[in-house]
Amino acid sequence: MSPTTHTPDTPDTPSGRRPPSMLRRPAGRRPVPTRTRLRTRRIPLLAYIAILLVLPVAVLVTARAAGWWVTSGHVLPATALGAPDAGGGSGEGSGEGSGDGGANATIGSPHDIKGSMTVQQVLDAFPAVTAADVYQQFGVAADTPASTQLKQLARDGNGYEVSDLREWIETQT
Amino acid sequence: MTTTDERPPAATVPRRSSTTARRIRLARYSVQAAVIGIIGWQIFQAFTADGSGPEGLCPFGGFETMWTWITTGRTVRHVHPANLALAAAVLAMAVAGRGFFCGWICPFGAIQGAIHKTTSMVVDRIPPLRRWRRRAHRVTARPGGLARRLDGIFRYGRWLVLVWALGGAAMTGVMVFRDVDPWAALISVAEFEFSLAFTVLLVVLVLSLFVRRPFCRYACPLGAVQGLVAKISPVAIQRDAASCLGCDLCNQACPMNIPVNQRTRVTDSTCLGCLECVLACPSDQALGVSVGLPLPALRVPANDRD
Ligand code: SF4
Repeated sequence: MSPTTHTPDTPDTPSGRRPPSMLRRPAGRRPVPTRTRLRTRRIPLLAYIAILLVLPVAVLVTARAAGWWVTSGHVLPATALGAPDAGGGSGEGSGEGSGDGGANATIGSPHDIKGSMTVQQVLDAFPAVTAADVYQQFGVAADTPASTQLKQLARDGNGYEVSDLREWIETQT
Repeated sequence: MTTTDERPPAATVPRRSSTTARRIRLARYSVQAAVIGIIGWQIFQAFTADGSGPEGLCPFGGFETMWTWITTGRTVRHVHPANLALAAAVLAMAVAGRGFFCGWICPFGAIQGAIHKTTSMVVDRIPPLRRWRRRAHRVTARPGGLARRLDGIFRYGRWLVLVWALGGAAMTGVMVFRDVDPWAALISVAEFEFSLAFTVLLVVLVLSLFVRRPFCRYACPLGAVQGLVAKISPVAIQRDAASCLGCDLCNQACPMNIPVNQRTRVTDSTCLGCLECVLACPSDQALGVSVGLPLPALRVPANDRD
């Protein structure tokens, strides 16, 4: 049914100019009855929306205060969480906030390597691998700083991807 | 025992203010735009090699790692503590507002909604397309028709995806859903790859032209989680028959095709909490959000107001 089936209740309200304040039920229409066995109470719509918008913010602020807000895009190391030497397995102090270059991420296996990690992190995790090896794989200059992110190497290099590096390191370890 | 509200329907009912509806809709679009802006910024930062990417901003990662985290204290790959925090926030919202996250915050839902809305606006302005849409609607909306039946069957897809995604992650320690996750493909545009996930993303975006929120309807595991959790929610949209005009506008407004005007309380697991039905309802007191508690002896009329 279209909304035009509602006719203004007050004759002094010209239809089409000012919306009617009351609506007349369309003839012959009987809505499905409502059935409930609950005690119900209406919530003002705006209050409901405000509460629902504040709620997630409150949860996230609490999480942040507890040191859980880590979006650093670096592996929350599967092998590090719960490990005594993991350095913040629960997230405390491990890369609070974003964009820290993954300085505190731990690499448990070649699968944990991410593009946002630096060459130095890979070298630290896999002593058998040298910086020269990594640069050679990516096809970038040998004097590239070890603080460079792997995804930057992938971008600057010869088409070699971080996933290729993972596979290569697996063969080396 | 179920109690029927016996009050006779009123001959006339107060009209809902369209200004309020417009403002609430604007607020919803603004929230969605802000969330998309934050995610877009994260993607940009990831692209410029300084940032972390928006992967840490997906609540479903928190659910995928939940089992591993509870049983071993570890998380699966690609998951950060922020994912767990977001999962907790979504759980809290599901208890307090059912699918509110989907309707008001989820950026992927917002993108699908925006595509469909834009298409509708274009079709509205082109008479041949309008006629074609009317014809298509007559076929797809036929009760008991093939389209309706298929829609009902495909909706079980969400539960299958949920079981597969959570079960797979729990058993293998890998986010199995990630390979087909269109959202993962969208946030990885900076590292573009023509993957299976990207194909799914394309399919969802194309389907959004014709179907409202196709991914939310048929495949979203996060929506399914919320649908489950919402079973314990005391909050729901409630209809009062005494003020209802039986006009059907709420049904037409619902992006998930819930027959709102046949419900007393909209407790369907697919409800997005977008409030579109409430905003579309011309009667001021017919639809609203209410808290319902199982206290039969203390039942008060559905349109009880402060
Ligand atoms: S929009 Fe739905 S709830 Fe509101 S008056 Fe029409 S049928 Fe009743």
